[in-house]
Amino acid sequence: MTVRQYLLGELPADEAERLEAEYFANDDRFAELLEAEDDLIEAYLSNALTVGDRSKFEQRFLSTPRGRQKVALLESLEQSPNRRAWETFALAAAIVLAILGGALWFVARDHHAVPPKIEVRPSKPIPAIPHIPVTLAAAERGSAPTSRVVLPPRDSVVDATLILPTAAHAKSYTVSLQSVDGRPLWSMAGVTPRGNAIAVEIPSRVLEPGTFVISVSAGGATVEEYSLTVNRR
Amino acid sequence: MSLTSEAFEKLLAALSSDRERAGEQYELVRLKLVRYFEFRLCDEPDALADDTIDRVARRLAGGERIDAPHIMPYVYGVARNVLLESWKKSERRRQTLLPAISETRLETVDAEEQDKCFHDCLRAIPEPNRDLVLQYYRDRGRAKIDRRSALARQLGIPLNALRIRIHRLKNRLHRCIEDCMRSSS
Repeated sequence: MTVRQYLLGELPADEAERLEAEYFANDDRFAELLEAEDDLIEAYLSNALTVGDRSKFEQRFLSTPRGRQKVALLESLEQSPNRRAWETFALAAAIVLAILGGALWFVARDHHAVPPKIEVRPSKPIPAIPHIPVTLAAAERGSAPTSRVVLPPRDSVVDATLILPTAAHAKSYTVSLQSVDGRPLWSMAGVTPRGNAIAVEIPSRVLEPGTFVISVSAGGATVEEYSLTVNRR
Repeated sequence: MSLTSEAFEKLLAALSSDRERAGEQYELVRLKLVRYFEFRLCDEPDALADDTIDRVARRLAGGERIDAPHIMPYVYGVARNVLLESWKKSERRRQTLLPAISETRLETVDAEEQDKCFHDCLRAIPEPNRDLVLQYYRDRGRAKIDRRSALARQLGIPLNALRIRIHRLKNRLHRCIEDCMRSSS
């Protein structure tokens, strides 16, 4: 439990230092820490964390480029063999269908002058829709930092994490996407915060290349605005 | 200042009298340091790990004597100093370069590029190790635990040694993907 608390940044400073000294001196303790880190990332990816732990995880792991890459790497590694297994299954299914189709054709040929047309299509795995994460910081007066995403040509989803201003305490928010000239393009109501951030999934079909304003409001009042620039490959 | 070969030799000798074991220990020290700076949310964990190793090696080259059983606590002590210095530097940067911070918030993520880099880097790992990483992360739950125990038995090493080996490989993958993403942006 202590190791997990350390990973989530919950340990008091002196206990964290004690644990660090332990894993520097003891390789087994270090291996346990690595295992616990993997377990935590897996739990996050499979949505098995409590709301509180998920928020702490996102603050710790998704706040640095290395942390985000760590999560992405584990996800890729876990999907690699599974994807291979699925492709093998899909190929096997196509072969079985072809054999069945051939057998049916032979049976049918005895009963019909014109053989019925049996179309066998090899089944293909459904391509997963890519999710592109982006974190948007609260705009500062006069110098809103613009975050950028580069979207693939096919359909994708932008996983936008919006960091709320410290004064924001509403229970839920409405997130809306507008063009820079104020044209409404997409919105989502009832978005609940996790810690000091809210997360929304924006479909790529509403994001033509250009710059957009993402507005967060609560009770009819604008809480914060963010700027997002979209490019396509 | 870069590490001299004399300083590096002294460091290896302090880690173990057996050359091969010293090489393994060096990789392990580096992995522990990188993880330490990652857990402390540092921006450049690899650079800070290298800085720590350089300092330890230079002190050894300067005549300081640290025997193998005491080297790890010593490395940790140096790492703590490096961490505190890095925090102070970050604080100074925050105070003096405030407008530049907004620039660093710019974040470009290209999922397809990331996926391509992952596969290229995975392919770059020589075959027995590549398969080992993929097998290690196959399955879930009980099947995963059994598979990992079987892999450790097959290799004739304890499970914890396998875990460390896998994370060393993952660290290599991390660095490769970071380089790949940097060069393609």
